[in-house]
Amino acid sequence: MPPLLEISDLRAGYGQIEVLKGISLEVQPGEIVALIGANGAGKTSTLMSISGCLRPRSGSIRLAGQEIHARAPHEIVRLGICHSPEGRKIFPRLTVLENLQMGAFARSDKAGIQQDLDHAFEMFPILKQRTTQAGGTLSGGEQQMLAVARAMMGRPKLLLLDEPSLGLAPLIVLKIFEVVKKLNDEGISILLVEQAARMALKLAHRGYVMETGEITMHGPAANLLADARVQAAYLGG
Amino acid sequence: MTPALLLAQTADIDAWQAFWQYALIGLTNGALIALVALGYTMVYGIIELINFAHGDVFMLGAFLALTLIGAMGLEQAGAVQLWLGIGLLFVVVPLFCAVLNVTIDRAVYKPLRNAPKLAPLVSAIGVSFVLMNVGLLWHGAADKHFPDLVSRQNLLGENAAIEFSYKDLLVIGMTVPIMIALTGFVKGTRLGKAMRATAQDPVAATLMGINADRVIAVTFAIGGALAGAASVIYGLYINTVGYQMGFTNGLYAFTAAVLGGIGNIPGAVLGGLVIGLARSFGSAYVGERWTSALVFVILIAILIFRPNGLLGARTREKV
Amino acid sequence: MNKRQPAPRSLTAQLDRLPQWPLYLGILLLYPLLVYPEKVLFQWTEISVGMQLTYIFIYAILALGLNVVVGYTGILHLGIAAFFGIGAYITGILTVPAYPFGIGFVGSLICASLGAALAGLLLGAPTLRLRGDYVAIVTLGFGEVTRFSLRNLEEITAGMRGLNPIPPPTLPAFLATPLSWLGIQNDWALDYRLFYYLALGLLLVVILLLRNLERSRLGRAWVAIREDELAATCMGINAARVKLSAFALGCGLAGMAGCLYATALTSTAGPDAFDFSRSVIMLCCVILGGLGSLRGTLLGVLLLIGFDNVAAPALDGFLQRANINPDDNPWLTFSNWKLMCFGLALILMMRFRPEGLLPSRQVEAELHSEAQLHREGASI
Repeated sequence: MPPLLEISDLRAGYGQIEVLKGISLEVQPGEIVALIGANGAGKTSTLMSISGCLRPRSGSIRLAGQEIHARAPHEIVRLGICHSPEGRKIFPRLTVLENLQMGAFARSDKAGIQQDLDHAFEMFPILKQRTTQAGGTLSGGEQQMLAVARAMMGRPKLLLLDEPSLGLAPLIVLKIFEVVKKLNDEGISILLVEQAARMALKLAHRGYVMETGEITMHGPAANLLADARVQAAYLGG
Repeated sequence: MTPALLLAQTADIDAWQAFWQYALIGLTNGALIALVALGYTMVYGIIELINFAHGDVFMLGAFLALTLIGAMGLEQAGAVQLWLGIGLLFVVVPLFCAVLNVTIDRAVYKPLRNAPKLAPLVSAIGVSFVLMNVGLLWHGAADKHFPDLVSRQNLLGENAAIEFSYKDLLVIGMTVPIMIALTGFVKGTRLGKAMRATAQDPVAATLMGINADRVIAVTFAIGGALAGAASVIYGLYINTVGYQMGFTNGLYAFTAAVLGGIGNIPGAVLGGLVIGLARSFGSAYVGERWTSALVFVILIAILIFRPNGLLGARTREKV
Repeated sequence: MNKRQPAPRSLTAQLDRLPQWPLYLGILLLYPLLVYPEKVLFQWTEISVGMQLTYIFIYAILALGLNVVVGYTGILHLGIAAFFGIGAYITGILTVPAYPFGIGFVGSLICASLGAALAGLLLGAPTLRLRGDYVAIVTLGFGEVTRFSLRNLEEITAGMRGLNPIPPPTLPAFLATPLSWLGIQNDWALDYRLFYYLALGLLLVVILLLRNLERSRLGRAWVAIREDELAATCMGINAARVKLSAFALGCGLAGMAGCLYATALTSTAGPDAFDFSRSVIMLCCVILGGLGSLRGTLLGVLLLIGFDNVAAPALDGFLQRANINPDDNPWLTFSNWKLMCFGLALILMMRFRPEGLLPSRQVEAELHSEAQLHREGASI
C-alpha cells in the first residue's frame, strides 16, 4: 500500500527565490506527522504546494499513489485534502454556521454534512453558541477552533494544519491539540506544521525538521524530541 | 427628467405635491441606477476591479433592444404581441449582456488576475472604448429615439395630483423583484455563499474547494444580466439612447456603488436610490444642467469623508 | 556564466540602436525651414504637418505632465484633461478682449501653470491618501465636474463657444529680425512656424527640467512611492507630500500645455475639448510609450496624437477622394474607428507589454520579476 501522501524532491518558489529546494516527505495512513522549523523555513509553502496554491517547479506530490501536483486547488479538496491555513483565514462576514458550511462546499451528501456539523459542535461546544455570529467577531481562539472545524467539514483523508497554536493562550492550544488527537483517533491522517515544536512532537508519531527549504532531519517524534540538535535549536535547550 | 421640469414651471402646484412627485421620480430613476450599480459592486467585491466597461455593456444592451424592436416590428404590434415582444426583450438582452460580460472577463481581465492592480483597470477603460466604438458603428453618433412602447397614462387617475404611469410601474415592477431575487440568491444558495466567501477571502475559499474562476464567471454573468435588464427598462422609460449613455450612466451607477460601500449589495441599492433622489431634487431645486456635476461632487465628497460608504466597512485593502 | 549573449533583437534593442536625440532634434528644428517636405506632405495628406507638429509638442508637454503623476509616482490620474482645460480657460480669461486683464502670453503662461498646479494641490491634498482605484475615480469625477462647470458658467466661460479671440504673443524685436532672415514672417496667424518654435522650445525646457528631476532626490522618492508606498514611508519619505508634489507638478504642466493650446488655437475651444476621452488618449500615450519613461512618452504622443491628428484625417480624406465611400457609410470612415484603436491599444499593451514600447529600465525589471512571482505564487 502506498503512503497516503508522498512528496518527492519537490521544488517551488516565488520569482527568483526558491523556497522549497527539493524536499521529500511522506504521511502514512493514520499518522500524525509534525513538520517543524524556524520562520521562513518553507513549512507553509510546503502545505500550499500540497493544496495546489503554489505550483511546484519540479518533483511530485502523490495522494495514495495518484499524482496531484498539476491539479487545481478546488480539485485537490475533492480528493480528500483539507487545509486549515496559517492565520486561520476565517470568512469574516459569514456566520459561524456559514463558515462551517463552506468547509463542506465540495460535498453534496446532506445527511453526512449534518452529521459532521453535529460532530464539530460536539468537539467545540463554544462554536455552537456562536452559530449566528459573524466569523470576524470571534476571539482568536474561537477563530482557530472554527478554522479546524471548518477543515474537518470536508471529511478529509488528510488534514493539513498550519500553526494552529499561533498567538493563542496555552490553555486553548491544549484544547485544540486535544481535538487534533481525537480526529486522528477517528482515522484522519494529519500533517501538522508548528513552531511550538515540543508540543507538536509530543502529539505526532513522526516528525520532519525543515531548515531554509530543505528537510534536515526526520524520524520518529520521540527520537527527535530526544535529539540534542533539535533540543538546542527548537526546544529551548 | 422632463416631467420634473414641467412641474417646476407650473407655479400653482402645491410645493409639497411637487416634492413628492420629485421623490417618486427620484426613486424610480434610483431603482434603475441601482440595477447597474449592482453589477459594479458584485464584480468589485470579488476581484477588486472597477469594471469600467460595465456601463458600456449596459449601452450595448439598450442598442440590441432597439434593433430587436425594429426587427420584430413591435411599434405596430397589437397588445398581446407587444407584451410578448417586451417579455422576449427581457430574456434576450440580459442573456446577451451576460455572455458579453463573461467573454470580456475571460478574454481581457482573466489573464491579468495577478498583475499589478492598475493593469486590469486600464484594460477595462480600453474595453469601454472598444464597446463604445461598437455602439457608434451600430447606431451612429447621434442619440436615437427608443420607441415609446409603454403607456404614459397615469395610473392614479387622469387628474391626480401625483403622476404614476405604467412606465413607473414597469421600472418598480421589474427592479424590485430582481433585487429581491438577487438577495435571495446571494444569501441563500450554495453558489451565492461561495461568491461571498470568495469576495471575503479568495485563498481560503479556494482551500474550501471553491472554483474561483467559476465563481468569478458567474458574478460577471449576473452583473451583465442585471445591466441588460436595466438597459431594456432604461430604453422603455427614458426613450433616448446613444453610444455615450454607458459612460454617464455607468458613472452614476458607480457613484451609487461607492456611496453604499462598494462590494456591498444592499449598499448599491441604497446608493442607487440616494443618487436617483439627488438627481431628481437637484434638477428641481438647483437646476437641471447642474445635476451631473452634483452627482460627481457627491462622489468626491463620499470618497473623501466616508470612503467605506454609507453602510460601513466592507472593503479590505491588502498591504 | 557571464559570457555575453548576442543581444536579443527585441523591438527595444533595435530602437536603442537608432541614433539618439540630437538627430531627432535636428530634424525637428530644420523641418519648418525646409519648405519642400512640408509642401509634399501637404499634397499627400491635405494637412499642414508642421502645424500639427505644433499640437503634438503641446500634447507632449501634457503627456509628460501626466507621466510625472502616473508614470513616476504610480497615481492613476484620469482627469488630466481638466487641468489642461483650466490652463486654457485661465489663459482665455486673462487675455481675451472681453475681459479687462489683457496680460498677454507670458503672464498668462505663468498664471495658467500656477493656477492648474494650485487646482491640483486643492484636489490632491484631501484625496491622494485614498486607495489607488479610488483616486482614479476622484480624478475622473473632478474632470467631469470641471467640464460641466465650464459649460454651465456661461457668464464666465462663454459656455459651449469658448473664450476668443486669444491674442498671439508679441514677438520681441531682437528675435523678429533674425527670424525674418530665415524667411519667417512676424505674423502668428499667417506663419505656423512661430508657434512651432515656441512650442518646441517650451517642450525642450520641460524635458530638461524632468530629466533633472528624474535623477533628483524628489524624483527617486516618487519612484519609491510607486514601487512600494509602505516601504517608502518606512524609509522616512513623507508619502503624502511627495505624492502631492508630483500631482501638482503634473497638473501644472498640463495647465502650461493648456495655455499654449488655447493661444495657438486663438480660442479656449469648448468645454468638450477637455473631456474624459482626452484624458484617456493622453493616458494611452503614456502607457503605449512606457510608464515613467521620458522618451517613451514622447514616442507615445508622436504615434497616437500623430495618428489622431494626421494619419486618421489623412486616411479619411484619401478614402473620400478615392470615392471608396460615396454613401458616407460610417463603417468606412476611418475616424469612426478611433475609439476602437485607442481601446485596443490599452488592452493589448496591458496584456503583452505593460512596460510600454520604450520602457524605463526600472519599470521593465520590476514588471517582469513581479509577473514571474505572481505566475508561480498565486496569492499568498
